[in-house]
Amino acid sequence: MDLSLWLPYIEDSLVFTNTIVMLAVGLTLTYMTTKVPNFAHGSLGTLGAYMMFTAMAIIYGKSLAMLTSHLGAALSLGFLLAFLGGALAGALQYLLVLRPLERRGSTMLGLMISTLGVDFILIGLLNIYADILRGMNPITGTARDWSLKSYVLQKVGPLTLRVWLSFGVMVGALLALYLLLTRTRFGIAMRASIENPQLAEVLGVNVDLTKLVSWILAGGLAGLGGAMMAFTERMNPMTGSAEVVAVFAASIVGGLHSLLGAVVGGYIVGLSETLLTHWLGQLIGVNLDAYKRAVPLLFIIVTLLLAPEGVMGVDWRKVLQRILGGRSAVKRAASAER
Amino acid sequence: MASLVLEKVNAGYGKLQILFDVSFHVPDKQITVVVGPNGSGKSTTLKAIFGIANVYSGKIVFDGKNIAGMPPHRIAKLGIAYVPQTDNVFAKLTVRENLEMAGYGMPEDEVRERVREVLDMFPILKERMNQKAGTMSGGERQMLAMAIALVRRPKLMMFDEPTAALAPKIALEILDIIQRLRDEHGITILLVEQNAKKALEIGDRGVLLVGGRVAFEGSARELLEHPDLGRMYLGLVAEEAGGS
Repeated sequence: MDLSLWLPYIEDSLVFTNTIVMLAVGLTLTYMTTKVPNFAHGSLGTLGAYMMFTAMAIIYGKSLAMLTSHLGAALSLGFLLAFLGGALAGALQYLLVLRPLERRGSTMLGLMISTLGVDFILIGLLNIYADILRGMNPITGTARDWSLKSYVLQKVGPLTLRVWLSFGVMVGALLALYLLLTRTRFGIAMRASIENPQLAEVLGVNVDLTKLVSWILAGGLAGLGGAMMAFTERMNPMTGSAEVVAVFAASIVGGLHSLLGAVVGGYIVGLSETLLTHWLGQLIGVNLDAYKRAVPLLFIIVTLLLAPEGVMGVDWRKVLQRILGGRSAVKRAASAER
Repeated sequence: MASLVLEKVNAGYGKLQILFDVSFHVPDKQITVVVGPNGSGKSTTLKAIFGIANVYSGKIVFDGKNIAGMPPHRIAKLGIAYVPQTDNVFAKLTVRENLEMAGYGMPEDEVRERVREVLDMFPILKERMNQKAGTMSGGERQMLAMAIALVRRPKLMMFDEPTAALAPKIALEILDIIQRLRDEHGITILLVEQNAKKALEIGDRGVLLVGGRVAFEGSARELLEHPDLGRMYLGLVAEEAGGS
C-alpha cells in the first residue's frame, strides 16, 4: 500500500472525525442536561463554518496575499467567531425555545420537534447570511459550495496544517471542558445537576443556569467543530444538517450519557464512515464512497439492537472473559479429543 | 418563637392536590415529627415547604418571611436544609465533590472549614473522601446526606424518612445523630418518619397527617400515648399507643 496515495484520505478522515467528535460531545452534553436530542446541532456547526469563512474569506480575504500573510490571525479570529457564534446560537435556542416549552410542561417529543423547527430557522438564516456574503468574497466570489481546504494544506512536519489545527483545537477544547467539569465548583455543579437536578437545586445550585451554560458550551463546541469541517468538506447552509446523522450516531454509540463515550463514538463512526469505507471499497474493487452516508445509520441500528447503553455501558471485561473463556473451552475440548 | 409556621397550606403536583389546609408550627430548636399512614402527604409537606411541590394557597412562614412558592435554591440560602428520602447524594460524584457541592455558592475557605467540622461529626466519611458515593452502604450514604445538609449550618433541617431501608442498629444511630443535632447544635428539626414510635420518642412535637389533612398537632408524647390515634393510623399496638 502506497502511503503517499492514502495520506490525503487519512488526513480528510482525521479532520472529519475530529469535527464529528466535537459535535458529538456538545450534542451529548445538552442531551444529558436537558434530555432533548437537538436536531439543530449540525446547523450550529454550519454557523461555525460560516464564521470561519467570514474571518478568512471576507475580513482577511481582501486578496490572496493578505490572507496568506495573515493566516494565523485569520484562523484565530475564525475559531473565536465560530465559538462565540455557536455559543450565542446555543444560548438563544435554549432561552427562546426550549426553556419556555419546558416550563409549559412540553413532552420530550414536543421539545425534540421544536429543535427541528430551530434547524429550519437556522438554515434559513444561514442562507440569508450566505446571500449577504456573496459578492463580498473576492477570492472565490461565492458563499455557497465553498471550502477552505486549499488555504490550510501547508505541510507542517509529516502532516498538513489542517490536521494539526483540528487536533489542536479539539484537544484544547476537550481538555478545557474536562478541567471545567472536574476542577471548578461550577463544573462539579453542572455534573451534579445532570445526575440529580432536584438535589442540586436543594443545595442551592441554580440548575437553570447550569443548563444554559451547557447549551452555550455545546453551541461553542459545535461552532469550533463546524469551523474545522470547512477544512475538509464543501460547505453550504445545509451541510451541518446533513452531517447531524453521523453526530447522532457517534453520541448513540457512545451511550448518550457519557462525554468520553461521545469521543470514542465519534472516532468509531467518523473513521468508519470515511477511511474504513474507502479501504473496503479498494479491497473489493468497488467505489463505496457513495454509500458512506449509510454507515452512521448502520451504527445507530446495530448499537440500539446490541448495546443500547453504547460502548460505555458494555462490561468489556465480561465480554473479553466470555471470548477468552470460549476460546479456552474450544482448546480444552480439542485437547480432550486428542 | 416558632421558626416555621404553615398556615392553611394547599399543595400538590400539577392538578393533583395532596395537602388540604395544612397548618402546624415547628418551634425553634425542637424536633417536630410528622407521622401518618402511607399516602397521607408527609413527604409532600416537606416538598411544599422546600418549593419542590406546588403550593396553591396558604402561607409558609420561616423566621417571619413567607417562603411559599420560592425556588428551592433561594430557600436553601435562607438556612433550610432538606434531606430527601432517596437520591439524597450524588452517586457519581466522590464524597469530597458531594461535600463541595453542599457549600455551593459559599466562599471556598468557609466551605473547607465547614467540611472539616462535619467530617469531625462523621469521621467515617474522612476515610472515604475519594470514593464515589454510589459505592457506599445505605447507612454511610445517609450520613453523607446529613453531612451535605450540615455544611451550610442550617437553622432548620428537614428529614424525609432517614431510616427507611436501613438495618435497625444503623437506623437508631441515625435517629441518635438527629437528636444530637438538636441538643448539641441547636438545630430545629422537622422529621418525617414511618417508624413513628422511635421518632416520637426523640421528638418534642408530633403532627399526624391523614389524607392530606392534619388530624392531630401537639406534643410528641401526647401523640405517642393517645389511646386511639396511634393504633388507628400509626400501626402502634394498644399498649404502645396507650403508653407503657
